[in-house]
Amino acid sequence: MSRVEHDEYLEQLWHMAEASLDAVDDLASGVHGDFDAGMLDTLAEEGLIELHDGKKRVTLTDQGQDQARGIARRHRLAERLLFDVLGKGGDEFEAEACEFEHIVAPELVDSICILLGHPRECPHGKAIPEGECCKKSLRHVERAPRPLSKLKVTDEARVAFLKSDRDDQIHRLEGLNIRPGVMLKLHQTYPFFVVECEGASVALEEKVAMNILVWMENGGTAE
Amino acid sequence: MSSDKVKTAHKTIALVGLPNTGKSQLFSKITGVYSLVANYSRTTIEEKRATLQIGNETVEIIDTPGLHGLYIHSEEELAVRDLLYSQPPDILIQCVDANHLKQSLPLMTDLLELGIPMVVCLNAMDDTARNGTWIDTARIEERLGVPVIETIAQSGSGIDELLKSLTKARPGKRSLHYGDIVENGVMEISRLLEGSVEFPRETSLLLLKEDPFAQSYVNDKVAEEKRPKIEERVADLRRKFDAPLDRHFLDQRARWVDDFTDATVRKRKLRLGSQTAERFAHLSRHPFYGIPIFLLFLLSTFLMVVYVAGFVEGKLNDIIVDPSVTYLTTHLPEGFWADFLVGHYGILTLGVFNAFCTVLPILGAFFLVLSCAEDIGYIPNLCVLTGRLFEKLGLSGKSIMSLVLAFGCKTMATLTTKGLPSYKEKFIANYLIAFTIPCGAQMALQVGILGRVGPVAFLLTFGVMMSALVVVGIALNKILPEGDREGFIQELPPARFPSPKAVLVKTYYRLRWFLQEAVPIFLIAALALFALEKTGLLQGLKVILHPIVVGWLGLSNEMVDVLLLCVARHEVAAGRLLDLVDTGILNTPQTIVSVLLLTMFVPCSAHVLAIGKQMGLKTACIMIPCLSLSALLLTGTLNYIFKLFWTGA
Repeated sequence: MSRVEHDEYLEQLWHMAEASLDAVDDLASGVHGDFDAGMLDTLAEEGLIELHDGKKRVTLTDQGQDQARGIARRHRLAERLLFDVLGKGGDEFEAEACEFEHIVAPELVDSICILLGHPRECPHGKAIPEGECCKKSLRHVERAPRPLSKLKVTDEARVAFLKSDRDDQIHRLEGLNIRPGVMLKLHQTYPFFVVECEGASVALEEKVAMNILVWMENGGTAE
Repeated sequence: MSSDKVKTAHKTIALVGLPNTGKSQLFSKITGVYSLVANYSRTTIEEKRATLQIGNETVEIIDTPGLHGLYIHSEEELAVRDLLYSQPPDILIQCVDANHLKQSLPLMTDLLELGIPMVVCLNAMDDTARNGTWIDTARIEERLGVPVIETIAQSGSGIDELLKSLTKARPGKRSLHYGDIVENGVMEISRLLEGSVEFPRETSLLLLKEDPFAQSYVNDKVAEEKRPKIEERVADLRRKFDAPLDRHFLDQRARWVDDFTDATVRKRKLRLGSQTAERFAHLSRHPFYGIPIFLLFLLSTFLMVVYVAGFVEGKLNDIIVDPSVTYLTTHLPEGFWADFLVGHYGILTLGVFNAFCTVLPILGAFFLVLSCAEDIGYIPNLCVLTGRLFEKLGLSGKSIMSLVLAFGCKTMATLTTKGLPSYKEKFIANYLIAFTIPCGAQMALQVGILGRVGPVAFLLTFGVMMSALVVVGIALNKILPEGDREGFIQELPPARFPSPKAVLVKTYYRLRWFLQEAVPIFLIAALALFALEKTGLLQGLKVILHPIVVGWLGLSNEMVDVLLLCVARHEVAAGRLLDLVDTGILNTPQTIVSVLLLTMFVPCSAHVLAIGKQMGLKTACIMIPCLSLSALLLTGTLNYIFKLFWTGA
């Protein structure tokens, strides 16, 4: 009985809890490969799940929830990392994210989360469970890249990376010299964002500005 | 080089560069052929060619639409790349805005990969002095290994040097390297492509960047047995590389660009000259201050067209029209010739005098204001100001620019909708352009017409037009299925004070085009109406159309003339409408209804062709009757509303 399989069951139960499902049948159809009823007993023995209705329904215990949240968080952060920063898409990235969630060390998870600017959703639009670092970031201003759309007028910032949901958008921005390392100055936020980059002004809509992640220079004032 | 290249008798030279770097201006200065320019991107949408004698050699110069790089993200750019691939020019001139050298470098790296003899032209050098940029031209020349010439296209400085340097054009040094793994792979792939395609190296790079065009191009050109080998090499190289190759290319290029600018460009902190123009640009797109500036723009248009043009028109009438009409009517015997020359549909009264003494002054005044706004760079800022509104209508990004361009010329604006990402957006943009936006000439004349019946009519008409824009846009947005949306990214041109010379030259060329294109139609239209009247057909048409024109629209029967002329050219129709208003045949509410009908009714023939070209025949066949029907519906309803609420109507 592998650790991987163990984690996968917990993760699947987390997905089900999000969708308000608790039937064992749903679990069975959700996991990859053959359903292993023995795994349920193991998880129950570890105190991670509770079985009801003669093993027809299953819920996570508090302890089980903590573990499952961690797994979902690692998986979805991994997706964000592969998708935003490395520009991977399609099937390859789903498989890689799956591997990733099992091997990454817990301390590294928070560092990745900070690097990505505490993202709230995975590329599929599902919520990424909050970590300690996310809660801290609300109390302290920290050096994390944030979307250009969160800056205030007259703020200056250095581009950290561009998110790659659309290749043509990245090419377009790169063509206008908006790329990692350059300084941007925000001139206007409404009706559109206007930034100055290398001496030229460029107007962007908010959706595009959200895809430009920047480092604030000297702490910054943005929230 | 491949063998199927069509060898033209003379050398070809292509002008390429980013949008708004002055290619068209340079083209005019070199060839003496005026090409419409404005201080914003995408003014040139189709290539222009001219031949020229340099020394004792004949060369052909090609002006191309703006290009960001050979990896393509829009249709116009695709056209330029197709041109480069299908008829490789003998020499490339890359036009670079010296103030934004860095922005031009990514394109430069791509052009260098082509290996075509090249000359780089650093344009707008005068502005670099003003905004504190110092460029080491000699160093750039040394780094690129091609002639680099400083020019000021606007005044023509440096053009002679540029032409002289063409004899020294040569393929540039390729100093951008992608690392050994990639370089070796590219070399192998290029070797396989050699002999069958143009630019084997650039083509292999495009293949590695997964460019769909390059893929189909290679499938087209390369013998089938060779293809698997190429595909294998490409896949192999991608596998060898852990990170996505695409990113790697962008990163390496970015590093090259940084190195290059670090070595060749210095910036002073202090900027000479005033920044008033910049500040104005900033205010003009501000959500609050932008609105009064826009109103000011409208007001100055109104004042220019109504008062300045009105004054000129009055003078022309006093000096030319009235005396000659009086002379002819008193000296000619009543009958055919008097009718033919100065009658109701006389070739002089409705044709010549109408075109030159009424329409021309109005267009002149309007084009002065428009050219001025274009030279300042106001139009893209207006896009920023109004973009949010257009977004609600289901439009995004580029289509906003198309819509704003429609106030210049609807046909051209329709052509710029080519690159829009989805059918839905294309449809909405084209419908709105055709239905609710008057083109420049039309707008000018409408302001002229409405100015005669008072400012209230002016405000009311444009109010209805804008409401129609919003309502129709929202409705179409709801009805049509969702399409792919593209984020709004728009470069803003550097704001500057208008140059009187550039404004005057541009106005002059616009008027000259009007004279060349529209005046013959004025004459033909006058003749046609004259013939229709003499044969009694016009009377017949008026009887047939009576229920619609008089019954439903509440207009005078004479409006049938205007509707007929609409199909030919809207300026001509507007000219006839002006006549009707002047002679008191239409009262204020009727004038408003007519002006709206004129904007919305059948598009002019050039515009119909453009719609057909962009949307396909089928859509065009649905769209145009729809347009005309909705126009009749809206104006008819308005007529009934006026009847109820407009006292004295």
